[in-house]
Amino acid sequence: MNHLLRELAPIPADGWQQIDDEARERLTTHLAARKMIDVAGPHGWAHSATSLGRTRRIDVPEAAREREALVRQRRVLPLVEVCVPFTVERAELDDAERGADDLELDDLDRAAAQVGLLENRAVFHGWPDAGIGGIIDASPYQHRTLGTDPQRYPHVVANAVDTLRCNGIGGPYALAINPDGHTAIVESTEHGGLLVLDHLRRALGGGRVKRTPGITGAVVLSLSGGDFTLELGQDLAVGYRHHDAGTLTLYLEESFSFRVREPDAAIVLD
Amino acid sequence: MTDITSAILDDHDRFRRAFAELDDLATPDELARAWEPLATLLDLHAAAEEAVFYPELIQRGTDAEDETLDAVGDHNEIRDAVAEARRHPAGSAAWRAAVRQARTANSEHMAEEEDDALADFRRHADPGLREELGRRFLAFKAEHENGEGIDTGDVDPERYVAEQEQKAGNEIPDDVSLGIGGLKEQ
Repeated sequence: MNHLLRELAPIPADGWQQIDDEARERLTTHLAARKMIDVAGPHGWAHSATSLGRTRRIDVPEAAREREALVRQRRVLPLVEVCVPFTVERAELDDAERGADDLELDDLDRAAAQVGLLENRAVFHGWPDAGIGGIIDASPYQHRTLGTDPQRYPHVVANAVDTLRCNGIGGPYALAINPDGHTAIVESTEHGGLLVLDHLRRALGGGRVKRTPGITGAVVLSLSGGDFTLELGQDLAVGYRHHDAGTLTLYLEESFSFRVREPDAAIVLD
Repeated sequence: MTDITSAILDDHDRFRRAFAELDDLATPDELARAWEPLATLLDLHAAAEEAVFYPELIQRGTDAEDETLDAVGDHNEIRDAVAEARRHPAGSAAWRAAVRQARTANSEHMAEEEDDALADFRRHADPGLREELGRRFLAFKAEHENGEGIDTGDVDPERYVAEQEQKAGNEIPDDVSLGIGGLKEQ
């Protein structure tokens, strides 16, 4: 048995299957950042830190300075553990045993949305307490103004893509945009009836426009690879915490770090 | 900068061109001169993949076990055909049959590897690892240039996979996750 303690939960195999399937489906929708960056791992729950391949000089202890010694310490980025609890009614799981395949898992859906929000936000805005720097802070370019008129978005995005290309950053590219901005895009057409979404995809060199919960504003970034890496210790999994007569408390859990390897590969649109 | 998946594709391209060049040759001397480096590269490429690429794929790929079993089985077919060709004079009927067998087995192997194992690895290995393995792959080939020190005997696919999984098991625990991983391909 591992630390998720799934074997201790009073959940039949069919119930676990439905919980895992629902979690996977919801998370795949919410984890927008993973659709635009590289993911390394998973390396397992015991994996604690990402090697940065760098060192820092430290002093030799005073009592050991008889001969000259050069001392360095390896620098690493510790992984963050994220754990979001949710509840499931035991009556729903009893129905799964009877063959029901439409369990009410609303709290799981909310937990999946929270995990997506956390991960997306760490990637784009960073997480100072965790030592994670985000794509937005790392970008060296002056921020562009996206505005509120979706018909102007293709022009702004094409301009950003041109800047990336001129700086040697290859495509295709993605536009990561907050949910409201994404809704405005899919609801808009330009003069002549061309969908703004289609125009944007062309401006992105055949790339994609991604609805990204957790991001403030928008970012144009390269999809060519090697620029942004999410390193997974344990990929998202469902674990068991406790239960009573009516309710089971479970949780979604993962461990990860995030690194910007090429700051020049993204431009921020406010 | 050499991504191992690119290094493998480079070899595949060499194979396709080298087999095609044989089609234009007629005399035994010409065939022997063209075949020998190709035969050596076929053996060396298989050995390099088994030493560097597949041990890492097994730790990361979605269908890594099946892909590795297929690949090592294919390598055996190719090695057998290369060894058979070396038993006969270049240009003879038996030599041509063995070279044809090597070509067919290699073509099938390359297609499967490019569509499955290499694609699987790109989805699950970070760029840094791919670069590092690319360097090791090229270093292995340089170290065994002209096939020196390469064991061209068959490798038992089941045993190879079991050994690699055992080695990996010391470092990578069972994946208890939902298996979401990277979503860039979506």
